[in-house]
Amino acid sequence: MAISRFSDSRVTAGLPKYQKMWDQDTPLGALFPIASLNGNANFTSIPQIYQDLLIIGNMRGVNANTIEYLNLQFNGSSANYQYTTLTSDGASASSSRTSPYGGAFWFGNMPGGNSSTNLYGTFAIHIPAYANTSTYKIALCQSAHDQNGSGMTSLIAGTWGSTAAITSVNVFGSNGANNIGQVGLYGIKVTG
Amino acid sequence: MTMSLISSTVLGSNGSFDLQNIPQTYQHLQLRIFGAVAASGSGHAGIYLTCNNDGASMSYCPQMYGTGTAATTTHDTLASIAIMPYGYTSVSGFVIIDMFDYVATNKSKAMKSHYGYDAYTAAGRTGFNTLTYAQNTAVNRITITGGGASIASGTRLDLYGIGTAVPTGV
Repeated sequence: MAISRFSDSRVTAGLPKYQKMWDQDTPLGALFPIASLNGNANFTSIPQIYQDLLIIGNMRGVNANTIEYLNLQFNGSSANYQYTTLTSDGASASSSRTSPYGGAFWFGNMPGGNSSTNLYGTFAIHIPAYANTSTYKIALCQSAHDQNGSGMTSLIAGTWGSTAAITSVNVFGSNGANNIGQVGLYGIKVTG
Repeated sequence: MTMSLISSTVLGSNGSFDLQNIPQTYQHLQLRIFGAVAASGSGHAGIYLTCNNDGASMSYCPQMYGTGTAATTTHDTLASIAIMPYGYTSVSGFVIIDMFDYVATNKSKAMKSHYGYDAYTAAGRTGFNTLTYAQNTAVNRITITGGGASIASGTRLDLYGIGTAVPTGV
């Protein structure tokens, strides 16, 4: 007789409505932790069973600069990102559609490797209807960082010109990877 | 923070949302709206939130937003809580509205929204609004309507209850 061991992920994927009951973590609700990553925040093989995705994180870069860009890509693609920004640097507010990075959504800045020790930027990214295949994908982002005299707050709405379902999400800095921090990926409302 | 789905509604035709008999068992509410408004041409239009069918008690709406070329702050005397796009192929808008202490009977109800879209072939708008329901009565009904345009067929509104006093809106 063959005996197969079910992993936690297989059980929870099969019983999405009962993830939190299984984990005995928080009461049954509509917000489901999917994964948490340190440093490089490249979430792959995202389950296609939720209505929206929410990414919450804190991060700092490692480049020899005081700030680094926060960038977001879907499905490993480096094309078709367009976005409208609202940013404030403590002196003035501005809005633009230009990308300092290219090939990704830029959604704000974070402290870089030359910033004071233990300074991090923080952000939240909403991605509604990420699994549908009929509309372009949206990212609604908030980010902030403060370096005691400088910093930035940002609201950004982006459209990725693809109808493909989002199966991977990558949050990265100016150097492309090797950031420091922790980023959590959540699913909101089970639909599958 | 616990977040519980109260209702999910997808419009089958152009129209508006009318959420009635909202449970009084949560600390806060969050509304998440994904879709568009229905109008000819292309652009965006305001959407409006009314509590308890009492439009006269919805107060003016300070807001700030970016248009892709300029950052603006203003006071919307029509009290739109957000804007949504129309007429751009495959482009949708997304709106997150948080309403705090909606069952309180000793305070006005404060709301904020974070919204945005990018038209892909043109600039969009992203912004942050606030709105007040200037009554001490608990909120058990919320209506979301378009201003000069209906909310488009296919637009989805999910209503969530937030179970603790932890600030929401992330």
